[in-house]
Amino acid sequence: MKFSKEVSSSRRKQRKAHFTAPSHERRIRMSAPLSSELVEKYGVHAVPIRVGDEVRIMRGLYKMQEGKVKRCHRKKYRIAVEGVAREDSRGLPVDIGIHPSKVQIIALRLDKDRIALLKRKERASLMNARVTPSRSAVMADVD
Amino acid sequence: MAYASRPLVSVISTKTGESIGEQVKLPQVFLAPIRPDVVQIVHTGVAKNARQPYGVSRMAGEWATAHSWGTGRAVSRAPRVHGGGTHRSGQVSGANFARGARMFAPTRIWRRWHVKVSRGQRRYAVASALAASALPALVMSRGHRIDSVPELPLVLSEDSESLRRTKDAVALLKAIGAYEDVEHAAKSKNQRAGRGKMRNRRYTMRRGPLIIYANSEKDPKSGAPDNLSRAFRNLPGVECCHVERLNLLQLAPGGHLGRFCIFTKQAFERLDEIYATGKSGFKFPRAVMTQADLSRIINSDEVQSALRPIRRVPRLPRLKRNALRNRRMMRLLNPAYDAFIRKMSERVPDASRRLPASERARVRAIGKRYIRQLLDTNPTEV
Repeated sequence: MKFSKEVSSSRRKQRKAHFTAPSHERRIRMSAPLSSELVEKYGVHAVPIRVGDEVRIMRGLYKMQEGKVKRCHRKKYRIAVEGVAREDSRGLPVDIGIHPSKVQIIALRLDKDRIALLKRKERASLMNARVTPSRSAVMADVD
Repeated sequence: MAYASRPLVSVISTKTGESIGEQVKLPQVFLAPIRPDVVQIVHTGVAKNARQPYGVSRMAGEWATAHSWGTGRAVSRAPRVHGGGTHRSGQVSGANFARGARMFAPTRIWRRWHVKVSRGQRRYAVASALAASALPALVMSRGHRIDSVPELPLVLSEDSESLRRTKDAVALLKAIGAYEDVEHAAKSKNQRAGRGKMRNRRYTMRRGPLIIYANSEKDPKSGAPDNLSRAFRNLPGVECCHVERLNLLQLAPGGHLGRFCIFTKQAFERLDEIYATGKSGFKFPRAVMTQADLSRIINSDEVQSALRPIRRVPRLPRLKRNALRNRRMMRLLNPAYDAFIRKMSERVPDASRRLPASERARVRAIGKRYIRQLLDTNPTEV
């Protein structure tokens, strides 16, 4: 069922939007869910993934493997995770692309902008009254 | 399971799924005549009213001038494009079978897309569909899973109106035994067959329960849908409808009676107000017959005693048959016919077979002589 007037429910338009999205939109599309501990801590369910985040792979051959995000290929909609690689025919290591929706962030790389982002998102979710207000105390510590 | 003829309906608790001891009067609308024919016809009309016009371009395939070359040029007599100097000239065009030409019966946007159904009929159909939703047999035959539902019509206690979370909605449906129907709908989700997949109708799914509520609380922040709808809307197959805006397309999907309806108590009590005779010309539907068992009426003593006696059809004169060919006719004319035939058949073979006595003696003598002759030549054989 379609609820938002702004977003099309047409498969054709959705696919076009996805595959021709500019880089800044791809950043949002390449969001990853947070682990349950981080959700508890920050009151945020998912954030756009970033180099330096630590992730746990949740699907596929490398399931449950953990590592730092080495690179985010916005063009390919894939991330490269440290330790997730195979050898090519010359014996050189090649990263295996992982889709960010199939990983879980277990540790965020926190810098000024990231903290601002978390605060912003938490405030939005507070307005939806999903999170208990006591959590803003935790956010105070993050600063 | 209780039936709609009951004057009282018990109110079901949202927590336990059992009666809370309270009862509400059964609204009159549940006694409306159930008319599948009316519902079906109204549904076909109403279902067309959400259509958007489509059609090919007005000039599609009509751009080229084309005429047949006639006979004598060893090509088919199909219309061909005039002129020269381009590949197009000489190509078959201007006929519905030709490539790049007009289609057969081009679709036009001025097709009759919408069907006006009179208000009286629409109201009749909605009342009829509501009445059918109170009969377990009809609801089951529509395919709903209502085995563990305590009662139909299903009326929930007042607190159901203030439901806000989907989690609570699921708990409620589980408590009243309606979650089976939701699961049935969820399980039925499949890819649609045919081209509809690429036209944004990718999946098909059965319908689940229809929640009918009466609150008018909008979301205080955005004015967007009320809380109850928000709680239920993500459940597969489940639909919500305000009691004032009951819709035949939801009450009888596909024109088939017996949607599984769940009422809140507030909504249930409103029904008598909404479906009341006198309101803006609305007349409560009445059954054409109070006793629907026609054969019982016909065979009743009252009717039978008032009938005149059966009128016998007088016998028509017999057809004339040729007695020489038709044996039955002959027997009628000649009672001795059979005896005559029998006598004839006995006499005829006798006359041919039997020989006179002197001849018979002669033939027997010949036979005896022959055997003796055989015995004389070969005595050991005997």
